[in-house]
Amino acid sequence: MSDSPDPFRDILGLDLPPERLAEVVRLYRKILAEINALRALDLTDVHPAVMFDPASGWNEEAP
Amino acid sequence: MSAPSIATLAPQLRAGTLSPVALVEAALDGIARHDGALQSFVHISATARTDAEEAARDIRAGQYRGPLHGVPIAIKDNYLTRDMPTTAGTSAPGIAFPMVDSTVAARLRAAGAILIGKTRTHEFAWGTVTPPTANPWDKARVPGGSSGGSGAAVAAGLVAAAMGSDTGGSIRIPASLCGVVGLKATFGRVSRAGVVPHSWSLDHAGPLTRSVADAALMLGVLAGADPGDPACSRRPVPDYGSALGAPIAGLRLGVCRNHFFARNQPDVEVAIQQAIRDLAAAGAVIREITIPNLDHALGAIFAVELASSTAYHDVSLRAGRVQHFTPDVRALVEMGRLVTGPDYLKAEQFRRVLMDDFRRAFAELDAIVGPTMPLTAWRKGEWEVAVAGGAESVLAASWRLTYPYNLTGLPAISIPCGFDRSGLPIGLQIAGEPFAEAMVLRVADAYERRHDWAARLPPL
Repeated sequence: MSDSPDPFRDILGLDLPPERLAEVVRLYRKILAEINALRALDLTDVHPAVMFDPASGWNEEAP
Repeated sequence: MSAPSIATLAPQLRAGTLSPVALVEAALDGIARHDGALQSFVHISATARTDAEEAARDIRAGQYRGPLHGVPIAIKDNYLTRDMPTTAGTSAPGIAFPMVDSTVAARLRAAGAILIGKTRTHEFAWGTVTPPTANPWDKARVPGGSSGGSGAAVAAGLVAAAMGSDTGGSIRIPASLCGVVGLKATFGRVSRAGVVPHSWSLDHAGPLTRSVADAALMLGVLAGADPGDPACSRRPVPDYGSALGAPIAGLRLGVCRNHFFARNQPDVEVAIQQAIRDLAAAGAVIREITIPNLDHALGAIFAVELASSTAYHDVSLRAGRVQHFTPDVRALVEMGRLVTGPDYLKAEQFRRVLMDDFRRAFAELDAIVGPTMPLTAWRKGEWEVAVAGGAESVLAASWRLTYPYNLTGLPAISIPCGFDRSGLPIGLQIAGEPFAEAMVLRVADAYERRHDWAARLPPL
């Protein structure tokens, strides 16, 4: 990695020609707006929270 | 086309008054006559006839295996099968899948079903359309997706049931747009082992059928522990059929007015309001509820789905194979790299928040009812649709009401509840607590028994 890393290629691993990268970023903008709304949520006190199985809380209960 | 249900066929097959061979021949004939226009199948089994002969011999010999024995069933092209190639909808070079049975395929075969062919999926089960599959109700319109081949095949009566997969709505969306039943059980209820993954924590396997009773029959065969899927539950599998026919008087049904009723086409709104009145007329107690945090759910599912899909396709991305993907799927896989680790984990954190909202709601409810989709089938090639007086992208609109149940893993079913003024089907969505499939089926069955939507067939 050079002293002036390309954040897309060197950090995110997205190695695309500039035109293609610009297109992907353009397409991502609307999605990013939704993710930005998620980022703005204060979830500091929500824990433990990481769930691969969102129904796990019920798994051990009687059917 | 006639379109008998599994529940109708099974007694005849068991009694020997109907032969699996005749049934398979009829299905193959229907596919030959109609699938040129529908394009719902991508592969037809070369062994379906011999499988049917074997089923007929077993039934004659008294070795009847249950209601799926001798019934032709289609399976989405992202389920691995030992005797039919799997493509997951991709033709990109360098990508191949093994010829082994997924757990679902193996369970269907063990129950005596005849896997007659593979149905079309949009590439890697992305998206809410399934090009070039047509909607049987109007061939100029989409069948939904990504299990659009399964939805079209069942709606057209080519098969009584077909398997789909659902990451953000891909069973329920084609079920709604094609006028059939689509069941996504609780996350972990049906094994995904041998299903080409899309997003590990959102993917569900499930059936599309002509009736609620058939969905119950299928789930009874499909559900159950599987060491091949670490998320698969070890809970015992109840007799889902016992839930059918039970009254719903006194059941508490929630209607979530935020999000689910925010922006729907007028005809959808009218049909759903009528369905709610019908359920109330059957004795259900309707309660208006709010799920406060749904406004942030879209960002969460985007973060999880994009990151997960890109993780799965990481080698293909680095090897440059994604340039051979369809343009929309290629872009989605590439942009998954832009989702950061904190974004992904905050989305997972948010799922806890959303699940807590639903848990609070279900403390006073037996099920939640509402529309499956805000709109009916749109024309092929349309990327914007009119919804509630404004233009909206089909991508944004089409999965808005289904993905909350992928983030939470809650069981949800779509059943037909009428048609819009253009004659296109509308879907009613019923969701329940985790592992409350019997309750979801009970409410759906009670509604279905009061209507004849399932008996209506598209004019092929």
